[in-house]
Amino acid sequence: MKKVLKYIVAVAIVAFLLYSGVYFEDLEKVRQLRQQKAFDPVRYARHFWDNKLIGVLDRAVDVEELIELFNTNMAEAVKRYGKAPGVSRVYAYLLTGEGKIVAAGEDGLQVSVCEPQDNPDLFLATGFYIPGNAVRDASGLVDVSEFSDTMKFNEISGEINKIVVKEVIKPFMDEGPGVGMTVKFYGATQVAQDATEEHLFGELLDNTSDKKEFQLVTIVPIKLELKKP
Amino acid sequence: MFGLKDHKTFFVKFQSLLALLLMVIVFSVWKTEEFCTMSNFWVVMRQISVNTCLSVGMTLVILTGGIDLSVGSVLALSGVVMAGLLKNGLELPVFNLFVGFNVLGAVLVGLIVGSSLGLFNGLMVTRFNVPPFVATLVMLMMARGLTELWTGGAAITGLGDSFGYLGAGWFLGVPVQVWTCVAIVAAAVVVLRKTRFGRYVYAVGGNQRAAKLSGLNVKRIKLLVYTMAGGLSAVGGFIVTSKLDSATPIAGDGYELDSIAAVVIGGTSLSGGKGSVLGTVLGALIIGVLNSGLIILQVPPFSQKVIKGVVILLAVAIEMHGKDQ
Repeated sequence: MKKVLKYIVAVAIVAFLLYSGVYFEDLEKVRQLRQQKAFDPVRYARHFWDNKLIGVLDRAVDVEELIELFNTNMAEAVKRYGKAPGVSRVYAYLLTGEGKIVAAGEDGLQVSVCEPQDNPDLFLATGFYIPGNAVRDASGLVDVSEFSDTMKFNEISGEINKIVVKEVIKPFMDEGPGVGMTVKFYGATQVAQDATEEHLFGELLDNTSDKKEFQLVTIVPIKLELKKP
Repeated sequence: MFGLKDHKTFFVKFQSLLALLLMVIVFSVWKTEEFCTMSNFWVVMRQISVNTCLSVGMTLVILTGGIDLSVGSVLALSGVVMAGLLKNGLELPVFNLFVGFNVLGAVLVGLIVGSSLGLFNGLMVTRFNVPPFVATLVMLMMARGLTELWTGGAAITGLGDSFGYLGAGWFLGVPVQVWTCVAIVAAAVVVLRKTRFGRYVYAVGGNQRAAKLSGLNVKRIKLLVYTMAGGLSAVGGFIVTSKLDSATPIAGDGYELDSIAAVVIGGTSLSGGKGSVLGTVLGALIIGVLNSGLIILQVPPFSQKVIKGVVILLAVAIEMHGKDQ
């Protein structure tokens, strides 16, 4: 009898706690509310592009300054300009600059921004598929905690990148950019914290070295302007 | 006089503590500035809290002569259930009812889910005589699959500050998750040392046949032990989810090995009947300190696994050697 009483008390406590831990609502009403708040990545990306991104472009750092910081003091680059949506070793940067196109390929243009303007310092992505989260993360405007899951957070990037291809890259490519022309740009890039441990970016510092192995900063364009000679 | 035999007894009895002290001394001398800091101390304590929860449950199971390979998967499933209910609630179309959950409700259901999975393990072992290794291996797969189904493969994030506080917050200068862990360890020590149930656990593991002939309800004891292990895995799931503010379907992957390692290093016999929760805590500490030290020494992750493997092997070898003696 004692045992039964013990079980009844235990079940009653759990039931009481459970009841305190839940609330009930009309399902139809909840569904309607959810539909109104339903996540639409296309709409979100459009709003982000038209109304929010434009407001942070003036924060874009000069590309020459950024490359120099990457090569000399990565920690400072991360601290001053880097943005990441959570704990990450890859940081995103908004940047701007002007440079000479020194080579053109299917996926993008190699651009020289530093003197002498013969060797490329960066790669401007102008292919018709842009992967990654550079623009979303560099803007610092999209907070991962706003989304119920990471897939939605990633869908945002997919839609932003589609806008980049359609509204930035296509019109720019229609103008026929070629070697020797000057391009002015705003863009975003993602660089790992330890990226310079292997090779430096561009050839700012190490152009005297025998080992000419450099890497280029890859930039996803946000605004492009072609200056023909 | 303190003879050779006494030395051996002392060494066998305090092997885990000696190993821990040795590691702390080595890392402290080698990397004083990085290792001997309060922040590193709390990092280690926070890192081991989840493993300690799982390992306490594992200790109970191993003390009865069983094993539970499903703790990592149960952790994951409990975690995603808590996060899913908290974030999205539950729809009951038949009653046109939406059931929303606050933190208390979601955590409670998560704990019930974990305990139920443990109960299922126990039923398989005791009622259907499925070997513990097989029963819990099947649960490992099933719970992981259910986790994927529940989440659709995506992480559930943005669970709110009050939920996050329980895993990432501090209380009286100590992380809340460490308090949780201390409470669990204290309760387990009391249960094992001061209650009849505790003595029964040792009796079942020491000699199951004798325990049965003495009138103990061996099946019931085992059932309870597996249920407790499931519940403690759910507590681990709660801590992980709360700490990361996110429930991922891959959470707890491989945790069963760390928890078995902590138990074995802590001196609990894999054949049951011998061991203690405090030994397991020492085992978890050894793994935590080892992990921290290897990271500070910048040992590559793959090599870290090899080193951890060697440490576990040594622990088992010393235990077997002690038995032979």
